[in-house]
Amino acid sequence: MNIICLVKFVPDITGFGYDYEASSMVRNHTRMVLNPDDVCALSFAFKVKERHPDSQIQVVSMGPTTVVPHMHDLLRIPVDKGTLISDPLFAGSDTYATSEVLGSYLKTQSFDCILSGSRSLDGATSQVPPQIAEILSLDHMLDISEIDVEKISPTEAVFSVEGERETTTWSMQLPGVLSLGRSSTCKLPYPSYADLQRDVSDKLTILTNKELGLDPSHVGLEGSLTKVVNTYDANSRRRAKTVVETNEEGIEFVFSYLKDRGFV
Amino acid sequence: MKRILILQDTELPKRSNDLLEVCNRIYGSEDHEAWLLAFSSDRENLPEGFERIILVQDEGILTEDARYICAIIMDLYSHHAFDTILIPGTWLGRMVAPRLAKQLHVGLVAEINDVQRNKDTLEFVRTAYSGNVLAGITMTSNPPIILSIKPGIFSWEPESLPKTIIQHYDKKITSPSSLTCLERKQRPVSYDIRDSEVLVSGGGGAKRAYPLLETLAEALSGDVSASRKLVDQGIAKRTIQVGQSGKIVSPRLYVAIGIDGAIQHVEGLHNVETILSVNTRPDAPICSISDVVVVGDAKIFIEKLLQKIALENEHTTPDQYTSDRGERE
Repeated sequence: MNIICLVKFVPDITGFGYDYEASSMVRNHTRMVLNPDDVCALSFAFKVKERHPDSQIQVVSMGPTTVVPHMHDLLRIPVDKGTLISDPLFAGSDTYATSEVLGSYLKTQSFDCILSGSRSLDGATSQVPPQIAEILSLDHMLDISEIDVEKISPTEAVFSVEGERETTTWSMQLPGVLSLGRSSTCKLPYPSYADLQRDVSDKLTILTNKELGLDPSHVGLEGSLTKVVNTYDANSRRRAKTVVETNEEGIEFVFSYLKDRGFV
Repeated sequence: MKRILILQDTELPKRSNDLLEVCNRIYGSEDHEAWLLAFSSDRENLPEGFERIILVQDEGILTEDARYICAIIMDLYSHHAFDTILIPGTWLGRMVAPRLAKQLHVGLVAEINDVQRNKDTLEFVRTAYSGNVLAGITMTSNPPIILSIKPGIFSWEPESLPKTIIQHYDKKITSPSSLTCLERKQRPVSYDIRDSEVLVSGGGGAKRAYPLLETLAEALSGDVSASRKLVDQGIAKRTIQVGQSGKIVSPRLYVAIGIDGAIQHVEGLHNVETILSVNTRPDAPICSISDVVVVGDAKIFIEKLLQKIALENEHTTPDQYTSDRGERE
């Protein structure tokens, strides 16, 4: 199998806090991590490779060159090939422009399957994978909970989606785009000790618009069809709190409070 | 006259008319009419409030095929040139809206939760930067406006109901998709946290107390929900997750047990009347947005409160209890 994984490095928001008292964001210790849903996509690619050792995994990402060390980490796991699309011209691209850029590269590649996460931790609107599928005229499925590793072949994938009221199992012809949802069981392999310090830079290609040759007016801020014009405080939700403890007095207070409002 | 097309919310068909509120927010008093694209399998659940309902005779899985739905919308658009197309931000909608935007070469503001009109410009508001900021976004592309709408935020109150024309769509459209549904397994759903009046919600700090949440929820006639942390650890099911990547809930009472209150979680609380939080850390973000904060251990709190409730119930004589219930019935 020839697999392309679309990944994104995002700020690790578990390190973020919000100080509601001061209405400000606490951004200490922010580091970039591989988007959790994308971990599931890559983890599945490795499952396929374990079963079919001749499979090739290429990781494709778009972002600033500051993520190069993170790409290197993936190449040490080892992912066979890494492609980072990075050009200041692309900065500020909305999802429309982003999928144009990624799509223009993917058009030049041969693959059986594109895997991605469903949602990104920072944007979380899952627009890019379906737009890429549209650009490439491929089928796509979102929020996949599991792909059947025994049944996947270069021409077909079988997978399930856990919905609100039912779990559905689907088949889709490949090539296609499959977006996985987050699951607690997804893990990436560890690099071998020998690979920890290995120079993997020869496996990483950094592409700029010089190579992709897109019309500059179709990418970045200029090529975006939406524009952020305002930001609002998302956190004006402070309430006049009463603080109690778990002693008798506290429990009494909570009980009366709930009783007065008809909850008990 | 502005014309809006709304895609049926196939998960909660009757709630599709909540998107009419988005139309009102966009067009205000300007003359506009809303059409609904619905599927015959939902014939029993057609919502009120639309000038026209286009009913597609669907066969099985086609209602879940984003490429097929896009093809129908494109066909309708070519005849009716809608000014705005609204897509619910459901599983299906999140596959349809981005494709549609690509096909129409327009921008997409996804999962909006507010509309602001500033003079002549329309701003669509959605959470950005991991939910820490609300971003007001404008479209720089030509019409139509395509938006996907965060479920559970907007609600529509009818002022007057238009007479609905039902139009059957029987044009044969072939889907380019190869999707085949192999199996459907119904899952028993006991409750939907979006409908709950009372939620007892557990977070990372409620791991040990998790089995007790159910008992407390029962005592408060409510349901159990959870934060992402408990879901990611496999302790709670994803269907009961509150927050940005879970569901938006609007209970009257939200009891947050061992929940830190990361902004992505708070994002899931909409119009909650009372928030009671139990936390060992009085400086946890959730405490600032609570009406009552109990500082202490979750397990001890629940046990003591349950004892108190049981004790009070004992003091209530059986007669009073029956008559109370009788009055309610």
